[in-house]
Amino acid sequence: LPDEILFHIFSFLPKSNSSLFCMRTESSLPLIFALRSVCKRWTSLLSNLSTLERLKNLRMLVNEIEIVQDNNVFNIRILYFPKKAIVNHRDKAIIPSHSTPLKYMPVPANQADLHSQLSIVLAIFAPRTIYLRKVHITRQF
Amino acid sequence: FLFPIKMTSPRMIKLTSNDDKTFEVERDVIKQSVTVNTLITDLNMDDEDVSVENQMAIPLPNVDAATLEMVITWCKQHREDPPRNEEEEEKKEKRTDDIPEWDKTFLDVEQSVLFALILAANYMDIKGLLDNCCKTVANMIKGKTPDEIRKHFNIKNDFTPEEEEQIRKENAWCED
Repeated sequence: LPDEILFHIFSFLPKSNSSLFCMRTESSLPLIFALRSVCKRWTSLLSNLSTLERLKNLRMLVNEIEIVQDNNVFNIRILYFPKKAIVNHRDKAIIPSHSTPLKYMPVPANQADLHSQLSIVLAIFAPRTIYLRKVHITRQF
Repeated sequence: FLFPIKMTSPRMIKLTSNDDKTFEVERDVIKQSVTVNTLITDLNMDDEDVSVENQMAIPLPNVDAATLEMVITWCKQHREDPPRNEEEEEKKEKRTDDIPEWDKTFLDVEQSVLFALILAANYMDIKGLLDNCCKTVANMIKGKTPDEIRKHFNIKNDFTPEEEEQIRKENAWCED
């Protein structure tokens, strides 16, 4: 069976830790571990699957991406949707409850490289807004 | 007064398998296949004036006759199913205990037949059939040890003893 179908089959198997540990096999090995131990192909597929799953979950939470330049390095930070919105009464802005670094990357050498790198970030995370050096650049994409 | 009565027979579509067997199937039945549905629309085959005899058969080069027959049987059984909302399906909790009884019996076939059905459902883009086949395979995997899974699906253990030991160690520590 091709990878995409195996992915689909694995998607019907329990993934969260709690359900995984409830689904112990006869050898008392949690299901995901049993699957990883079957063969190299399944190990590789399941690693990709958990990465894809994590990305998908992360993507649903991303509200804004902020890129800050620190010398020759771009610090790409994710601002999540606020779980509890904090309202700054002075300017009425809603401040996302937390942000977290996503990736550090060297500042691209030219505009074309910068555009292609940012396009990848946008394609993966589809944030509502993206700021580069405090400039709102969402509409440039 | 005699009024001419127009008998409306169901619109039929011809499908040809990769071993050159042609099947006639109702348009309403095969609309569950996104691939076939798209072809019918793109090739303008919904023209009522073209009789089924003069109609071009849609070739399905990735599906053999036995599998295509099963696919058509499944589509006939599910012709009244409400259309799927893929967005809703994505949001739904993925489970394997909701396969309809008819499908359970229908899919209780040899592994090679089930896998051929999966490939056909994937190629013909019939989401309901693909999901139920994949759930059936997922149910076969559940509760089995790695060795039992290998035996059941005839998978070769390609780990070296060292790699197997490494995986065992990783499993002991690994938490997603």
